[in-house]
Amino acid sequence: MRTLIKIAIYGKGGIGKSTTASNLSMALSEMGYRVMQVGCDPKADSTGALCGGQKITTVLDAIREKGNGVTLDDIVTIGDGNVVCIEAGGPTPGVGCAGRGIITAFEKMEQLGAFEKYQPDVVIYDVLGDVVCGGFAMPIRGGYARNVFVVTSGEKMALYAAGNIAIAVDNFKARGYARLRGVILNCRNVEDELCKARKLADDIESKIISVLPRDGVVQQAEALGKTVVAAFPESDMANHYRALARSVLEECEE
Amino acid sequence: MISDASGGLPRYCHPYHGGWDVARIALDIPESRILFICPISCARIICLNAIKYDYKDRVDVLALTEDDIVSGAYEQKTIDAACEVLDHLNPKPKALILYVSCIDAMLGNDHSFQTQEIMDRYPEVNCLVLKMCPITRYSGDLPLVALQHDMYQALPMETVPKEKTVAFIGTNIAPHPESDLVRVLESAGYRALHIQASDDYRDYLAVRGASLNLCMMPFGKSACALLQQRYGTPFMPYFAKYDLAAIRETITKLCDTLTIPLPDLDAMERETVSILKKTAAEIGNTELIIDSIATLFPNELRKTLEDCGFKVRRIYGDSVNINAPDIDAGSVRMPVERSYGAGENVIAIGMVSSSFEGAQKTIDVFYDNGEWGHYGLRKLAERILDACRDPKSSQDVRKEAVK
Repeated sequence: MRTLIKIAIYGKGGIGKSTTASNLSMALSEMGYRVMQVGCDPKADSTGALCGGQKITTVLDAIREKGNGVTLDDIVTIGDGNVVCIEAGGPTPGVGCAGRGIITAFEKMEQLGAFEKYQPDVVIYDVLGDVVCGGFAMPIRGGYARNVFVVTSGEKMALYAAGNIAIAVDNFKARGYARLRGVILNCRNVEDELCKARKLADDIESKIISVLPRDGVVQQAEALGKTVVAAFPESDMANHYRALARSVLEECEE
Repeated sequence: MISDASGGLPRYCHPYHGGWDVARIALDIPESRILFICPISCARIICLNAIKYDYKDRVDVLALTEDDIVSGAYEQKTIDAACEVLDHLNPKPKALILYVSCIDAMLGNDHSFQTQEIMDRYPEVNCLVLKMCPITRYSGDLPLVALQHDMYQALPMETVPKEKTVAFIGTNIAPHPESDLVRVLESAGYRALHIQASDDYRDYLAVRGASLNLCMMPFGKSACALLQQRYGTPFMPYFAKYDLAAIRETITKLCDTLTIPLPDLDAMERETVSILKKTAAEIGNTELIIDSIATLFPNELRKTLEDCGFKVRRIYGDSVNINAPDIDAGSVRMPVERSYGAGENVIAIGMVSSSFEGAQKTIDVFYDNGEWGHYGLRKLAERILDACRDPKSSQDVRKEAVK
C-alpha cells in the first residue's frame, strides 16, 4: 500500500501554479498514481486544464445551492487521467470571507469522506498567492499537506512572494505543519533568472527542484482546455513536467 | 435553543427551565473548567447565567477586541490566558475547556496546536475546544449535537477494558435512581454511568469502558457513533417513552442486548395504569395541556394519559400537527398561535404551555426530567396531584427558581 503523499503548491498570483499543478497531476497519473487536485483559490480555476477548460461546481457553490444535502457527486469532477478534481471556491468577489470559505470547504470534504472514497495516492492543494490568514494556512496544517513547493519566476515580485511564503511555512515549523521541500522555477525569461532563483533558494535554505522553461506549447494546451501532458504528450515541455513529477516524489519520499 | 424544529426562527433557553445553556452542558464533564473566548457582550450573557445557575466558580472569560482579531494575536492570547488561569488554580481542573465563539470560526485558529501547547505545560490537564457557533447550525451537526460529540471527542484515544457499566449519552439530566432503567440495570449488576451526575473526572474517562451506551436524546447520536467507532461500544436509542407498549419494547430490547433478566413488566404495567386511573378520577374534569419542552414526545404522553381517563385539552409542539392531525395543537414558537387563555381548570405540563395559557396549576418539567417509563408516569401522577394541592402559575415557578 502506498503512503498518501500530500502536497501544497504556493506562489505569487499568476505565476503558473495551477498550470504547474495540473500538469503535475497529469504526469503523476501517467505514472500510475491516483491523484486528487484541490483548488484552494476563490477564483476556482485550478482544475480547468484537467476538465476540458470548464469551470467545475465548487464546494461552496454546492453548499449555497444544496445546503446540507451536498454529496460528493456534487463537488467532485473526474478530469483527464482520472484525476479527482475539487475546487473549494469562495465568496462573491468583494464580500464574504475567502479564508473561512477554505475552512468550510475542507470541513465539507472531510465530512463527506472524500479521501476515504477516492483513496488518492497523491493529493495536490493548489493554493492562492500567499498565506494571508488562518484559512489559507489550512492546506499546510496537520492532516492536510505535508510538503510545500513554491512556484516562482525570476521576477522581483514573484521572488518576494516566494520568500514570504517560505517564512510563513518556517514560522509554523514548530507546530508540525508542512515542510518546504523546494522551489519550482517557472521561467519567464528574465535576465539571470536561474541565478536569482538560486539566490532565493539559498536565502530560504531550500533548493530548486525543477526548472520549467518558457514554452508556447503551454498556452496552446491552455487554449485547448488541456494540460500539456495530455495535449502534447511528446513535447519537451511534457517531459519537463514528467521530470518535475519525479523530483516532487523524490523530495516527498525524503 | 433546544429544539431542532424551530424552522429558522430564533429559540432561546428559557431562563426558568433549568437553564441548560451551552456552558452548563459542557460542565457536565466532571472537574472541568471553562475559559470562554469571546467578545465582552457574549461574555456578559455567560457570566449572568453562570451566576444565576451557580457555576460561576468554574468559568473564566477572555474578552476579545478587534485588535486581537485583525492582528492574529488571538491565538497566542488564548494560550496565555489558559495558562494564566491554570497558574492560579490549585488543585488544577482535570479538564480545561476552551469555549470559542463565532469569531473563531472565521479565523481558522489551529485548535490542536493551542490545546497541545497548554497540555505540554500542564500535562495533568486535558484541554479541549468546544464551539459556541450558531452560524454553523445549518451546515453540519446542530450545535447541541456537535457539543455532545465534541465533549466525548476529548476522551483519550486509548481503549480500556470493558466494564459492567452502561453510559447515558446525550442528556443533561440523569435518569432518576428509582427509574425503570436504573433499577433494571442495577438489579443485574450494571453500574449506571452518567457524567452529569458525577463529580469525579474518572467517571468521564470510564465512559470508554462502558459495555453499552444509551442514546438518551437525539442530540447524543453523533457522540454515540463516535464512541462506537473509537472504543467499539455499541449503542441503542433509549429516548423517553410513555406509551406502555413502547416502554415494554424498550426495556425488553435493553435486557436482550445485555442478556439480563426481564423485570415483571405485566405487574409494572398494572400498577402504573392503576395509579394513573386513580389520579384521573381524583382530578375529575380538570384538563391537561402538554408542551414539547416538557417532553420530547408530548403526543405519546397525551395518548397514554387519555387511555387512563385524563382529558388533554391541547398540545404545544411544533411537529404535533403533522404527527397527530386530529388533536388540538399549538406551536411553541409562533406567538400568533398562543391562546393566552384564562388558565382556569387546567393543569399545564411544562412551562411553555403554562405561560401560553395562563395556567394556575403548573408542573415544571423540562425534557422529561429524567423521569419517564413507568416511573415517569407514576411520578407525573404525583405531580398532577401536587399541582392541584399547591397551585402555581409559570410566574410563581419562575420566581421560586430565581430564589
